[in-house]
Amino acid sequence: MKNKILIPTDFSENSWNALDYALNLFKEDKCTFYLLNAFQLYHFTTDSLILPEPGEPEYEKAREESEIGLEKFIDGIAMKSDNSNHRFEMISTYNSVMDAIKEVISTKDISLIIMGTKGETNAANIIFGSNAVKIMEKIQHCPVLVVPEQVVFPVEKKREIVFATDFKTDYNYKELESLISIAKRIKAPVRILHILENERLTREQEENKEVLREYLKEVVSTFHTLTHIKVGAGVHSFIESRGSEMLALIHKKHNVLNSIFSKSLVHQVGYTPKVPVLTMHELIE
Amino acid sequence: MKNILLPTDFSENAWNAILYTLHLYKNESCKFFLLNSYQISGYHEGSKFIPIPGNEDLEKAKNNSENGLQRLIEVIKKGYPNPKHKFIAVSHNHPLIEAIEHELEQNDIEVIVIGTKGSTGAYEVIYGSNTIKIMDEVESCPILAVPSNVPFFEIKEIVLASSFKITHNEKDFQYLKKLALQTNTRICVLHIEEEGGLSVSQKQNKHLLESYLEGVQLSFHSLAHVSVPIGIYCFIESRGSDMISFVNKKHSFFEKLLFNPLYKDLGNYSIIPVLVLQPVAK
Repeated sequence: MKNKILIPTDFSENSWNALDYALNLFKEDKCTFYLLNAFQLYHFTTDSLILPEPGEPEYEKAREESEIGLEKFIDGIAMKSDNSNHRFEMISTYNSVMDAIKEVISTKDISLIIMGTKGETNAANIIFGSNAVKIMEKIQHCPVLVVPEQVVFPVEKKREIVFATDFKTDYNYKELESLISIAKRIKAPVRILHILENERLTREQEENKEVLREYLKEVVSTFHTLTHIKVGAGVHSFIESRGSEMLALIHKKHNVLNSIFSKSLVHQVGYTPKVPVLTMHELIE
Repeated sequence: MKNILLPTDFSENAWNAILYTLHLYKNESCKFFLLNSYQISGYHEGSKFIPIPGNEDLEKAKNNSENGLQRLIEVIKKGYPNPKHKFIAVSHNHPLIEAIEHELEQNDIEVIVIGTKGSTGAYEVIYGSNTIKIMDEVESCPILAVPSNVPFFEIKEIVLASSFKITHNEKDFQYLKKLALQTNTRICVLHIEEEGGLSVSQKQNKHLLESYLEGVQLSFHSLAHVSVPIGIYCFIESRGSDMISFVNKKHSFFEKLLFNPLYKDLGNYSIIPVLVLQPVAK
């Protein structure tokens, strides 16, 4: 499998940290990293009626800044690592971050997006940077790994991925592929966590659970259940209690991801993700 | 030589607690006091209505108790032989608590180990009335309550739940420390955070605890935004811990946790052994 990793960057400390994490994650793999910087002009957006034209001084200046930024970024990588498995490509584009990502995913056949986030900010409610949450929710065709700024790549014995799921999905191997390949790559066991809402699982949930067990055969996995606790607090407590290192979720509308990251619950529970979050997407037929 | 008190009513639960204890102390020289208290309707030693010696019912009860203990010792010696272990049968015509208090006075007992029914529903059932009574009334000795369905006898991790709100004496943790060192078990100190973080005195108590437990593999953990019982439950369930321990404070924390019917179906509370440490009287 070709690894084509997209790393959106705004040249901040966070995106640098996400890149560092990505380089560690794919240390042993042949891999192309696409470093994407989307630039926009102050007054204009891609939707505005008056478009700046290439060649106009303002546009050229922004483009130049973006390209120089990317070059510096790549110079920085060269100083840090000389992994012959890794190739880097720069993409500087005039677009919104979201649209730029969507475009690169479809043209370059990207297998994973890795991006940084600020984690806690000063504003009380903003937990994951709003860009990160938007991308996790809106990008439908590619898994996204969001790395909080203070996270460093863990030593091997501490690696463990918590996959929080409600067993209400008709699992599909393709959806889970990014989880399975990361688990294999970093030799991390997968802890499948279910927050039990009712007394017991429905028949449908039991069936889905079996399907999941089958799909995850290739990796070490264990099942865990917590009850009497809300999803957000339960996932948080589980990760904190075990010192797990990564959280994986499948995003579908109105599910775990929403309840963890929706502002109201965030507000209630004060959930701050301290570990990288891998968001996979339900494949819609 | 360590002295350990094992009250038994010859039930399955009590038997399981004995096996757990034998395993826990397999490398230690121990004297096990197997205690059975018997009573016949209303009569016991010291009561004002003394049954006439030779009373048939009383003799029968006495014989049952004594023979039961002898049989128990034979079964243990045959099935679980260990040259380091000695057994003493103690049969009392006293109410259970008095019998226990009596033994605590006579012998330097390190811990009392009792069996519980494990997860079967109502809390009165999980912790039989005797267990509740013992945990409630015996204040001078650590108590280890072992559920009948405890899945593993091997222990790797003991959770010590603490609010850091009470300044303890080093002696309060003496048994826990000995147990951890003797079984090469790590201790995870769990604190459930409240708003505003730790106060100055909580921080001091935490440091004190750390110094008391020096030499033990020790780690500190905290969970936020959960109630104390749910937080403890999540912690032990998430990690698969092997024992949960508290310093007993009457009518508080510990009771809320163990005896609140609301939490009766929180699996692990009734699946892993509970160690109740007793604070030294001030």
